[in-house]
Amino acid sequence: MKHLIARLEPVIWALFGGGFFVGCLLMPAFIFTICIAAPLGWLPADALSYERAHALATNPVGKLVLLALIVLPFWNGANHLRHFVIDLRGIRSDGIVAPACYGAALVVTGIAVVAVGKL
Amino acid sequence: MGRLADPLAMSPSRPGRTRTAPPVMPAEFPAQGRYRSYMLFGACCVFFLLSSLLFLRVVNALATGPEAWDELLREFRHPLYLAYNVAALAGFVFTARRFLFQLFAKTQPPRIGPFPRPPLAVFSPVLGAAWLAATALIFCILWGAFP
Repeated sequence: MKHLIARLEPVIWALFGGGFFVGCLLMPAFIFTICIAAPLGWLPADALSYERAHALATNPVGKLVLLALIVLPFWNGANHLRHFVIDLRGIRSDGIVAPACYGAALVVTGIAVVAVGKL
Repeated sequence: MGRLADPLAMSPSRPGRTRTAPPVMPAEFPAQGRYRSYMLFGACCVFFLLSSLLFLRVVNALATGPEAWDELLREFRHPLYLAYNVAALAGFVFTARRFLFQLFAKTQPPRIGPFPRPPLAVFSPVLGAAWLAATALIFCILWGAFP
C-alpha cells in the first residue's frame, strides 16, 4: 500500500492543487449563496427555487461544476489531513492515515459521480 | 529547546558518514509564531472535507425532488448549520488569502511550460482579479441576474 501511494503521489498532488483552486475560487461564493443567503431568504424569491436550481445543476456545465465542487476539495482535504496528522503525530501514523484518507476520497468520488449522473 | 522530532520523518534514506545531532522540533511548534498560521491553514482541511459532503447533500436533494430541496434549505436555517457555514466561509477565505496570494506565486518554477513566470508583482493582482471575477460570476448566476 505504501508503495502504491508513493507511486500515485503525482496524481494525488494534482488533485490536491485542483482542490485548492476550486475551494478558493468557487467555494466561498457557493457557500454564501446556497448555504447562508438562500436559507435566510436574502436571495430574490425564485433565484434558487427548485426548478431554477435543478435547471442550473442539470446543465452539462453545471454538472461539471458540481462534480468538481465535491470531488476536488475532498481530495484536497484528504491529502491535507494526512500531512496535518504527520505534522502532529509523526510519520508512524501514516500507515493507517494515508490509506484511510485516500480510501475515503475514492469512495466520495464514486458516490459523487453516481449522484451527479442521476441528476 | 523544543521536543525531539520524529527521527524517522527527517532521517536520510542512507546513514551518512557525518555524525549529526538528532532532529529537534522548533520550540514554537505547533501553536506559536508563524506555526500558528501554518497549523490553522492545515486545520482548514476539515472545511474542505465537510463542505464537499454538504454539496453532495445538495446534489442528492436536487436529484430527489422539490420537497427534498425545500427541506434541505429549511435544515440550513438551523443555527448549527448556519454557524458551521459561516465558519467554513471564513476558513475558505483564509485559505484563499494564504494559498492564492502568499503561496501560489512563490512556488511556481521560473518557466511555466514555454512561458517565463510572470513577475511576482503581477501574479497576486491577476489571481485576485480571477478570484473576484469567479465570485462575482457565481453570485450573479445564483442570484438570478441571468435568466
